[in-house]
Amino acid sequence: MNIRIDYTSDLPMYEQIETCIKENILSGELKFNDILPSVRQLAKELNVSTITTKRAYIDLEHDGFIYTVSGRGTFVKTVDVSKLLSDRKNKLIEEYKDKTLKLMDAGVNKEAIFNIIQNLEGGN
Amino acid sequence: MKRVIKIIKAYWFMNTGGLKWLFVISIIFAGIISLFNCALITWAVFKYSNSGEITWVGGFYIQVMFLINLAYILSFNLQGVIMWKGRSTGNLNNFLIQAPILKEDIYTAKFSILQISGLPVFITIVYLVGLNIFVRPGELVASYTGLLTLIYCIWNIAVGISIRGTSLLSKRYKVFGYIVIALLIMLIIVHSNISGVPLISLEFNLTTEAIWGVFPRDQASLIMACRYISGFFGIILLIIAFVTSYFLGGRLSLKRSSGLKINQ
Amino acid sequence: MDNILEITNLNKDFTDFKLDNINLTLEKGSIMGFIGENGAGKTTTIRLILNALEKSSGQIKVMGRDNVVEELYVKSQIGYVPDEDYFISNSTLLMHSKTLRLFYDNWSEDIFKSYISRWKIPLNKKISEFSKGMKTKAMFALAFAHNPKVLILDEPTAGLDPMARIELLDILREFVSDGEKSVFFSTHITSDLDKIADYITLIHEGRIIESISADKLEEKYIFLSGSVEDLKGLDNKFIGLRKGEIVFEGLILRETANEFFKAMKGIKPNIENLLTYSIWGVK
Repeated sequence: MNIRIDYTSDLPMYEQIETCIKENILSGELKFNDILPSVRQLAKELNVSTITTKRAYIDLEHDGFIYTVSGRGTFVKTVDVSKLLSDRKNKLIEEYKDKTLKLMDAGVNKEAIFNIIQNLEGGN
Repeated sequence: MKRVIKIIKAYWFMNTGGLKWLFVISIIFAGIISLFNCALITWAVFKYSNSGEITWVGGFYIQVMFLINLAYILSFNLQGVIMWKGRSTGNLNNFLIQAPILKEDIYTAKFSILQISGLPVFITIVYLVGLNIFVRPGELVASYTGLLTLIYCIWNIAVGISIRGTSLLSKRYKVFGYIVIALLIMLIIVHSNISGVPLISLEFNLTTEAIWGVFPRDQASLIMACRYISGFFGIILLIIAFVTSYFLGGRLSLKRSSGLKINQ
Repeated sequence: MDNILEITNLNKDFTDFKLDNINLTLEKGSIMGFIGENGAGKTTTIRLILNALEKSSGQIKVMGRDNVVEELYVKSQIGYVPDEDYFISNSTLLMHSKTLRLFYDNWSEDIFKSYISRWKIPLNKKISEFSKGMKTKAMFALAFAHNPKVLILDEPTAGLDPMARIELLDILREFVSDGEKSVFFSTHITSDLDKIADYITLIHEGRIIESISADKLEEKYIFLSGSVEDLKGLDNKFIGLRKGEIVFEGLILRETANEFFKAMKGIKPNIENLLTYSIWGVK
């Protein structure tokens, strides 16, 4: 499992943890029925309070990504990866829209932008 | 009661230095003097009833001075401040604040220790009262007993107030901590008025008239009056003094001052 | 009984200061940071919990029992580490432990010895020869030795070097890991709390200004910074603001930030921000 916290981000810690775990599921690093670290273990390693990791797990469970077996631990649930992927796509599209608007504000016109896209594709 | 004993043990453990041993030795010494005095007075009483001669036992003063001395040794220690070479090394109250004890327990512990320091004199009084009631009632012994009882009762109430005074952090009340010293000074003044009676003497042969002539007129009547508080009245006075001291010293209304910490 | 500590409507009047209507609860298995400036009332609150000070009104319950009515039980469940050490400097740690041991039924000499050897604290040396860090560790050893259910700590990390601080935080985490014990941690070294506190209570001039869980803190607030022009004069939207000629930074509700300062860059707030900017805001 791969968790990277950005301490300069404006997102709350628990949200970042949730996102990281979702990314792990998406990338396949976390598979169905994989066991997750305990709330306390994760808190200790990330140097955050247990209530933060608890919150992340509660939210993930609520959204259906993980499930808890009392006395055994917390595990990954099968998820509709396609939904996760489309969520991520939508998020990137929003960011892209934002950047495009900024480009246009800066005076870059539509054709210039199309050229950039074509070059990128060509470069690949 | 268990907790009180634990607190006394705590005082013993935490008191570094020789002061606690000085206390123990002083008590033992005072005890020996007390027994000595009892024996002497018994001897004097029988001598009087056999030969009519009166002996004044001046050892009385030694006992009283021990009484006050011991109380003085303890008065600072019982504040909780542990001294070493004249400097404060910490306050036991700060340490014990976390322990499952009540403030009443600490008070009772201090009170008990002070009563123990008064035990030798108390034993003397009880012995004399018994002597007066059961063996040989007599004016002189009665007066002696009564005077000792009176001083002991005043001492008892004074130490009670001292504990109260030293446990309240408000500066106003600190002065009461020194009541015991004031008592000592008072006694010295009283004695300095009694000319002709040496401070430390084991025997002093006088006739009945002369002995009362030695004391100034008003003191003589006081000492004479003390006759009445030997015997049963004396016992009642002792009980009243003990109870008054205990409650006056703060048991009734243990005011929680603004923090147990004493910054020294 | 899920709350280890429950303070209800606590008031304490002094001549020049008043602890005003303090309310807080500490669940079992959690760590609460109690923060505020010097003189805000942190130590007074702790003294009231220990009944070293008589409250004017209100109620304090530890493990569901009133701290005055059942003072003996309550104190037997509390492990206390004060900010200034309570030692008799001329005595030794051994004598102190012998003394304290008298008063607790639940004393464990094994636990005491384990901390002593772990931290290499000498038992027979005079306390006056201890460093400040060692004194703090000794107080912790004594506190742990009687198996308390709640640790009440008043600036416990102030004298510790960074390694010892990290070690202590690990120990505190372990202490609450069984879910039955809690820690009440009063400090103004907020960086320690960022790593460990589940709940934060902020006290200022005798009043509780905020009591919040660590996740809600990051959810509710955001810390914005930018140039003074970007403020557009909306200073009063901030809870606390530090404004210069050129740049500003301030604590603000996320809700409010999304409404008025959507484009502005921010970071998630930490406890220090909460403390300093809340207090500046009150002023």
